[in-house]
Amino acid sequence: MSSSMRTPTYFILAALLDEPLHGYGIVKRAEELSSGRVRLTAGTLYAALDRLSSAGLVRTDREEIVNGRARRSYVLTDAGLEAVREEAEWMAEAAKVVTSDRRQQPSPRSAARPAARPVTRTVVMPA
Amino acid sequence: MNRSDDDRLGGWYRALLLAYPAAYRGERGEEIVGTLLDGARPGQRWPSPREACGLVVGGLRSRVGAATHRPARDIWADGVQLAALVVLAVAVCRATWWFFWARESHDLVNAVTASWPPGWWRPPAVAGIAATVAAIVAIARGWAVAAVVLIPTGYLAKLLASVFLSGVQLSNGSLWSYHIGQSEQWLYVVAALAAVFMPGSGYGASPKPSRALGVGGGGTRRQA
Repeated sequence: MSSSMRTPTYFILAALLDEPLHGYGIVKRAEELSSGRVRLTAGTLYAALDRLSSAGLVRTDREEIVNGRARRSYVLTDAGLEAVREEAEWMAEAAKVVTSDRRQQPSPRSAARPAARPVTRTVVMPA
Repeated sequence: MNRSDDDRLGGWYRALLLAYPAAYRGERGEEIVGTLLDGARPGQRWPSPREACGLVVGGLRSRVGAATHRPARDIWADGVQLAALVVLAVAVCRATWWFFWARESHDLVNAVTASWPPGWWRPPAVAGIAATVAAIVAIARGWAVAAVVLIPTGYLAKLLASVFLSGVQLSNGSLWSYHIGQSEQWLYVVAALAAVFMPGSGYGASPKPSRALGVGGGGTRRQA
């Protein structure tokens, strides 16, 4: 499953790392963990949960009624834990390609670009 | 948020959940509504557009089977069934329009109608449209055998009505080719093929049910 996991799926699994959560708990936790970037709608959430359940990465824990609302909580399975860790490691590897030290220095090409700009301008301005 | 707001907003979300298949709704519907109500703002009375879109898209995806792990064959079979329904609905609309509105204003047909007993076209036209409507019901209910019988019946009855309307001119070629080009017969061919391959027909287990849709795609494109 590594490298093909979609971002919402990744954050749903990550949300369940600490404890079992019910639907809205997952939505809130995923939003928190992703600094607000992953905002799951119920439609997306349950489509993902169905997929993850049938893949055996997540299973349902207990069902209860709270304030007249049906709630079912979800637990990360061992396979789910393994999958999300594998994905995290893969993304860390992928991130290194861009963020490693040798890429921090500006390359000769991008350094040359600002200098080119005034030249273009002087050509364009008179027209 | 008090209970009456809950009921009202929950009602809206339940209505949106109609996008999902009934079996899925029965199993997960209340849980999804619960999650949506948990996420609602205090005093919120209307569904947020974001959640509404999410539900409609999620529902359609789960109908198509994209959201679940169903065998590809089942997904194709569902798609073929849906295609047959759409195609027959278009055929009914076209035939109704042709016989009961457009016919009056069409000189080509009016010019030769006189050579046949007036009104003879009416019973087969009505029967053809009725048989096609019955075929739609049959496909929706999964009665493949009934659909496979009703679709050609509808088509032949409609063709008979066309013959009564346009009379002997059929033999001179131009009117015949006009019918080939304009009539919805391609739609019937597509629908009949789709019905053969739909679930419950016994041929749904064919190794390549997608062929039915492939032919269907060609037919409808030619129609358009």
